[in-house]
Amino acid sequence: MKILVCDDDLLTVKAVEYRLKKDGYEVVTALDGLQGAEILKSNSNGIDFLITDQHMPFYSGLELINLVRNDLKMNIPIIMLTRVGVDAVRNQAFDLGADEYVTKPFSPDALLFKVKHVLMRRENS
Amino acid sequence: MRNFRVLIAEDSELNRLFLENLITSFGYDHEFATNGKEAIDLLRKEDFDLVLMDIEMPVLNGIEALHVIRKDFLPPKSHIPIVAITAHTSRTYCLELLKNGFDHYLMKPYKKSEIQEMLEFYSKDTGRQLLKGRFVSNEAKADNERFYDLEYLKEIAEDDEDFMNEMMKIFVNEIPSNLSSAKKMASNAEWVSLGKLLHKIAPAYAFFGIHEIESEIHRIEEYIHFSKELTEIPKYLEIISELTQKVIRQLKDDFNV
Repeated sequence: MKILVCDDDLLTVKAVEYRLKKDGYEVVTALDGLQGAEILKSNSNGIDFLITDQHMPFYSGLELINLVRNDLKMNIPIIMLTRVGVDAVRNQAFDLGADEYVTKPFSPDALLFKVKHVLMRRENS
Repeated sequence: MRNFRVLIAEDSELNRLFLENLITSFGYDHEFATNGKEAIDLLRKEDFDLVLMDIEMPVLNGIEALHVIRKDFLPPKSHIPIVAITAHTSRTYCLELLKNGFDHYLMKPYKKSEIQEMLEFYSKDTGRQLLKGRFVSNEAKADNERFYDLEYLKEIAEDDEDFMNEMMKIFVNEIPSNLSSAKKMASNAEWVSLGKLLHKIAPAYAFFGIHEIESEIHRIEEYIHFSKELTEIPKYLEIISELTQKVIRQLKDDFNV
């Protein structure tokens, strides 16, 4: 399972990468939307899961979700990272095809819990 | 009994009995409501850590009750984790629940392990507890006292020193330049960009348990959001900047970063 973590905050990316790797996931990271988009577009990367923040340079999280679902037609699970109370972004993410959301600040354990939940739901449906 | 209270809103007596048995056996404290309105009234009066909310209920259903809690209650109560319980199994329906603002959902029939895992998670979720200010101390600090608190980072790292050092290095190297950009944005009245930048750097302060700065950031974000007191923002950025410098000096002294 190869997870792409896209966030322009290096500390968040490092903490998430550390926790997911400890649980056995392969992790690829991107520090802006453009880098994230390029990784997703390149077939050789074989990304199985996307975790993305909304506010990033070049492409936003919503634009990345749109890219995955509508341009690349990828059916990979997507978790959107949002701020508490930013309902409009969360709703747009779901409309575009996100599977879950996690509000910031979050503990890496919280994100792991949601990753497992999404995978379990996908398996059972 | 663990120090974690669950409010269960469920109209079926049979389900209530089942959940009571289960939740008590895990050692959590709980209280019942039999419809959404009762749940709201109870939450107004008492403190809970989590709401388990059935969707189909009389008087006020689970979604209506959720909206009241999220919109009419004040933080931190309005941010309480609310987990939906539903008999619907379609993915679209469950996504709709998340879209409404539920934190999580469980499908009927109940699975013991799934409920246990969910409760374990929310009772330990440090991110959420940070929001609730679990680690915040308001006492004045003496000169030699630390402005940071590594408890949260240690919890993530399980005392892995290499990882901790890497995180500290990133903090020390990246935050000062972000703060000088923030000051520039404030002097050019680029409020939207400033809001985005502060949103980006806020988690760094959470990782290092620097709660004084976290609350200053939230204050500025609020000023930007409501377009009020904008002229005060540079002053608060200066406070953040000074405190950050102190923390960096302390981290350098204490850990040789």
